[in-house]
Parts: sequence; C-alpha cells; structure tokens
Amino acid sequence: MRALNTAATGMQAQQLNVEVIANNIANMNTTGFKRQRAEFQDLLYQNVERMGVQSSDAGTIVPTGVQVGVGVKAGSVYRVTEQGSITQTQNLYDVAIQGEGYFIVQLPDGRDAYTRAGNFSLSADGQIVTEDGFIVAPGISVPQDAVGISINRQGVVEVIMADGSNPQEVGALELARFVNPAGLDAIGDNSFLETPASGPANRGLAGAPGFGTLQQGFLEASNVNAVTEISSLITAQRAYEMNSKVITTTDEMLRSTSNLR
Amino acid sequence: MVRGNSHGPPQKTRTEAQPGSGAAKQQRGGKWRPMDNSFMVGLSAQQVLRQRMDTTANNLANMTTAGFKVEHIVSRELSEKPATAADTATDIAFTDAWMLQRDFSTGPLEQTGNPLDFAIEGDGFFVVQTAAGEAFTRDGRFNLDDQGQIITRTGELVMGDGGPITVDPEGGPLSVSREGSINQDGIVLGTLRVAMFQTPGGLERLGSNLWRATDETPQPATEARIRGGFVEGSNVNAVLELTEMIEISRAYTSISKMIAQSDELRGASIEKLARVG
Repeated sequence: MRALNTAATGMQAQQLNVEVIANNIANMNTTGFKRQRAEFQDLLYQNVERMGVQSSDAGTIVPTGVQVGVGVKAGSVYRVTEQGSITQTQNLYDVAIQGEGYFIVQLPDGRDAYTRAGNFSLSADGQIVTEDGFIVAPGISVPQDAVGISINRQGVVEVIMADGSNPQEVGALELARFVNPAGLDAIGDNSFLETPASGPANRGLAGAPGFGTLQQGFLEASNVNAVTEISSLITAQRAYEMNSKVITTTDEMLRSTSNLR
Repeated sequence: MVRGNSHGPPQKTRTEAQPGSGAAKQQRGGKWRPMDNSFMVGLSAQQVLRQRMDTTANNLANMTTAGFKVEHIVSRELSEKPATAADTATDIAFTDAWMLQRDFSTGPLEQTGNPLDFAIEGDGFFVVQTAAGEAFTRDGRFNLDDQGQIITRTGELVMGDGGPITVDPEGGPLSVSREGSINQDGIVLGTLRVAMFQTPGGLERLGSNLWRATDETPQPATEARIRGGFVEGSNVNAVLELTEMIEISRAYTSISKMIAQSDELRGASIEKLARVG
C-alpha cells in the first residue's frame, strides 16, 4: 500500500520541520539571527483515472478523475528576513541596522561576507573588526590616542581625541543590499555569502534610499518569537504523530489481510 | 487456470470443460467477472478502501503544505453480473473508486511579513509558466531570480497581466493592492494574474503545489482578493482525516472478517457435501 510510504514522507517532512524549529529556538539569543521556516510541497500524483477523458461515445467527460498523491517533500528552508528587535547595550562598538542592509565583512580568503550582527570591537592595530577579528568594510582605523568614538545614523565614524580638538571623521561603515536577501547563503557565524539567487550586493551608505540607518550602542536581537516557535513545534509534533498513526493503521489493515490464511 | 504462460504442453483448463462456471475467464469492460461473489464484492470494497487510505495518508502528509487542497475518493456502486450458472441472475453491486471530491475552500491565512508572500482570498489560482505550459497554484510563496523577476520556490516565472513581473533591485519596498497590482516607489510593476475555473475539481495535480488545466480554459478571477505578506496554509482538517482513517481501517478489517467467514462457510459445505458422496 502506498499509504505506508506516503506517511513516511510526512514523518520525514515533520522531522525537518522540528529540526528547523530547534535551530530557531537554539538561536533565540543570537545577535542578528534570522529565523527560518521549512516549506513543503506535495509530491507527484498517480493517475488512476484521468480527468477530462471521454467516458462515453456521446462525448461525456470524466469531470474529476482519480489521482492518488504519494506524499510530501521539503521544498525549501526559507529565511524570514524580518527586522529583529533593537536592544540597548551601551557598548560603543555595537551597531544595529534599522531597516534594510547588511554589514560587509572581509573574510581572510578575500571574499566578502554579509552580516546583520553589529557587535564589533577594535583589533590590536586599531581597526574595527567583527567578533572573529575580520575587518568590517571599508576598513576603518581608529587612532591609538582616541578617547571616544561616535557612529552616526549614516554610519560616519568620528573619533574624539584626548587633546580636546574637534571630532575627526575617520570613515563611514558601508552597507550592502540584495534584491532577494532570502537567497543568501548562510555560512554560520551570523554571516552570509551572496549567491545568484540573492543577486549581487548593492553597496551604499546607511540612510541612502532603500538602506536602513545605524544605531550606535544597540544590537539587533534575533527575530525568533518563542511563542510562535513553540506553537509550531507542537503542530509539527502532532503532525508527526498523525503520520505515524497512518503507518500503524495501514499495518493493521495489512495484518487483517494476511490473517485470512 | 493459467493459460499461455505455461511452458509444458497446452493443458485443457477445467473452465472450458464446465460451461457456466467459466465466468472468471471472461472479461467485460476491462473487469474480471467474479468466481465467488462474496469474496469478490469484499475484495472490490477493500481495493477502494486501500485507495481511500492512500489518499487520506497523502492529506495528512500535506497538513503543513502551503495552498494544499484536501481531496477524498468517492466510491460508487457498480452493478455486474454475478458468477452463477443461472441465466436470469440478478446483478450484484461492487464498489468502484469513481472520482475525487476536492475541497477548494481557502486554507488558514498565516501572516509572514515577507513582501513576496501572497495569498488569494476566494476562488482562483496564480498562473506560473512551466516548461510544459501554464500551470496554476494557490501557493503564493514567491521569490526573485537574479534578474529581479518574480518566481515560485521551484523557479517557474509567475505571470502578471503582461507577462513576468520584474522588480527593480535598487528600488524601495514592494506593496501589493487587493486587486493584485504590485507597486514599487509608486510605480505599478504589474498585476498578478489570477485565473479561475468553473470546475476546479477537473484540474490535474502535478505535484510541487502545481495544477494543470485539462478540458477547461481559465477565466480571469475578478472576485479574488490578494493579500501581501500572507501565506495560505493547507486546508486539511486533521481531526476529520483521522476519523476518516479509523473508519477506513474498521471497514477494511470487518470485510477481512467477512471474507474469512465465507471461506469457513465454504469449507464447511465442501466437507458436508463430501460426506454425502
């Protein structure tokens, strides 16, 4: 019976669903994390009786034939790029993006990665770097004798010197936008790479049309909503159980047949 | 009663020697005429029950599939001549999987906040361009390709009233009107085509949430309303499907019992008749 296999595909799908939800919950407190959603599609159908074929010589047609589906497949795991909530940290090197855009991070291998996590710090040689020590584009150096730093909404970085002179501009943080941010390739460490699906990075400054603005001293929390995740987890678990019930019921039916002899 | 595939010398089968009981070898309308009525009626019912079970399993497997429409097999009575030697035998009723009953009611709308998620309120389907012609879908979770064209999750182009809709990658956020026109920076980029069928049950399912028209040409759905940022869930009602499943399983088991009982009856009668002889 197909029902056995069909229910197995259903269980596999729900297993993936639970795995995605588990990852969301695990990253509830990860800065700049974007929750994911497992999406499903129905599998092929077998035509037992085709619809639209002639059922008599008088030209009558079968209005709705008989098609039996064979289950479900995971279509994609989609990233929901909704804005996460902005939380205050008071840390001078924490920057949150409000609106569209990603920080550009120069990976050691020369490629650019993109991230929403703005928890930066200073490297030993005074450059603004990520948690992993990668340079944040365009590469801003803060002088050794600076006593303060300010990053404005447009990403312009100004330093306050010990001698009390006027603040000096040392550069501006760049942002990148994508036609389809959901198509970015997640590589872990809160970072993404561009792909043909995301489209090429469209670089610009914060506050430019289409780009978000920056907020110093704040971080973007993950956009995971614990309540929704838990309720999706319950739904997924129940769906898993129901599919396993289909297997036991089908098994009972088969047993009643094999018990005939 | 195997004929044609035995490798030995041709055997004269018993059915040919006994006229009247040879009904099982004759075919009518592509169906075998039965040897033993209660067995055959029971088996015909069990076959339909298996198909119904397969369909119910598919419904349950697609409980979380966006835009999925629940379906059930409707069986009908099929009158056939029974296996009997009498010339004036009355017909007996078999069970036959007749057609699908499809429920096209709108599934629950779930808010996602994604500007490229669309749901249709009311009848109608989004139109997508596949390699094999136009297909239709209720699954409005769309995406953009590298040229900014709106595509489905499986990469097919979504059709607007003037062909595919292209979004400006450099432009501002998208918004969609209730009529399905997609706006960006105050410019209408295109209107999502929504097609409607008089008998949507006649559509052929292709999998991947797609449907294909069979004998009906789609009409534009003027009543349909589009909601941006929403996804239509599956309209499978898990409770109904579970009770359906229990019902199928019980019916199947009781038919198995009936077959076992009529087998016992037959065995007993053969024993008695043998004793008389």
